[in-house]
Amino acid sequence: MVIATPDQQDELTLLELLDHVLTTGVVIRGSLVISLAGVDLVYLGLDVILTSVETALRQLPAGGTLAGALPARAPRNRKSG
Amino acid sequence: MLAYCITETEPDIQVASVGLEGHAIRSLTESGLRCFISDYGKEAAGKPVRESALTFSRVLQDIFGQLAIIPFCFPTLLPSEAEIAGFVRENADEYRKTLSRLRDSVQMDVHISLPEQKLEAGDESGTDYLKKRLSRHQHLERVAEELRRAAQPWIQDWRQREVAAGMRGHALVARGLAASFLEKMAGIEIPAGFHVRVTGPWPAAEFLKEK
Amino acid sequence: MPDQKANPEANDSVALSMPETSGATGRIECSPENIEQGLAKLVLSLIELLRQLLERQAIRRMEGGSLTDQQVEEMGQALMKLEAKIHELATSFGLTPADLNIDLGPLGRLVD
Repeated sequence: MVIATPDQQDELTLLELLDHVLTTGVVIRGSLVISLAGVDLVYLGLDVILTSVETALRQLPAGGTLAGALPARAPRNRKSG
Repeated sequence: MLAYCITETEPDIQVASVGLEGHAIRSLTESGLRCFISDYGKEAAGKPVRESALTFSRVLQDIFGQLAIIPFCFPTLLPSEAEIAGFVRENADEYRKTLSRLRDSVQMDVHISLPEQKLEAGDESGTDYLKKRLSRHQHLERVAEELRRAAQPWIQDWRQREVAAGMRGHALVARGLAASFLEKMAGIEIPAGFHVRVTGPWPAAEFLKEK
Repeated sequence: MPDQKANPEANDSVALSMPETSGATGRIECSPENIEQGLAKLVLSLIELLRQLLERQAIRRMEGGSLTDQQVEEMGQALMKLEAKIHELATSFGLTPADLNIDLGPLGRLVD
């Protein structure tokens, strides 16, 4: 069992700090940038949420298809415009 | 403009840390909330993520040491203060409720890992493979449950999710009890083969939404 | 050990390419020297993310008892082969399993 507080300076704690600020918290727009030799070229703005088939099927009207059921909702806290 | 976090307007606090590139941390007040920001210029964009993110997290820790925060993911960049104020205004009701609910609470993280077994030569059946994965999953759930039960008196809420290395549990704990929570966890015996790491206190980022 | 999702390399830089509202961004950096490996890392990391999601769902279905023995066997075979294939491909690009947990920012949590 290892116990640690965020003020510690070891590598694992630093990685954990990074993990917190890079993956949690309010997101206005999530994106991924792929760059080539330092030049930003490709921007992926992902608004689609992955969901399980069962959850999607539960939301289907009778006789509906899966394509119609996948949510295309805006990410939470999305700024309009 | 780089956004750091949102807090209530009381108590008034002092931020000792500086932001990225030595820019001062300031706050704007909007709809009964305070949002901490700093300038963000082109020179910051060229710097390594690790250094910038660590500076950012130190500012968060500074503010969080004094009151509850809703952190922004790093980096959250907006063109102007007006845009930030607008964003806060749009979500003010939700954020006020969240901060009120989490005012005196902190998040403690419990990382449970179980090293993956080496890949078999490929002789096992598909069913055996899935059963092995199921058994691993159930084992992790049992250990998570044991830890959760041991910490029950401290826990206001608990969320957990499976990750590649094992399981992550997040406990919502009263701020004043963070230290004794860690003490309690330190004394718990862990089953052989498992590795557990307990850290905190953190801002309650996993509890922003009421489940 | 914390799940090493955040593993930014020392020479990464923060993206400031979006003039409008920009949230948290993960960055994949490719250079002429490591272009193949960089792209392989991206592709394999995304496949690995999907594999974990598929496995989680498969186990849930199996636990729920809604599958035939045949379905369980075939799903297990497919997942087993997928895991082995990902390892094989990663190795051929000089990547370790740890390399496949690249920084996708909050997008890496979409598969929860």
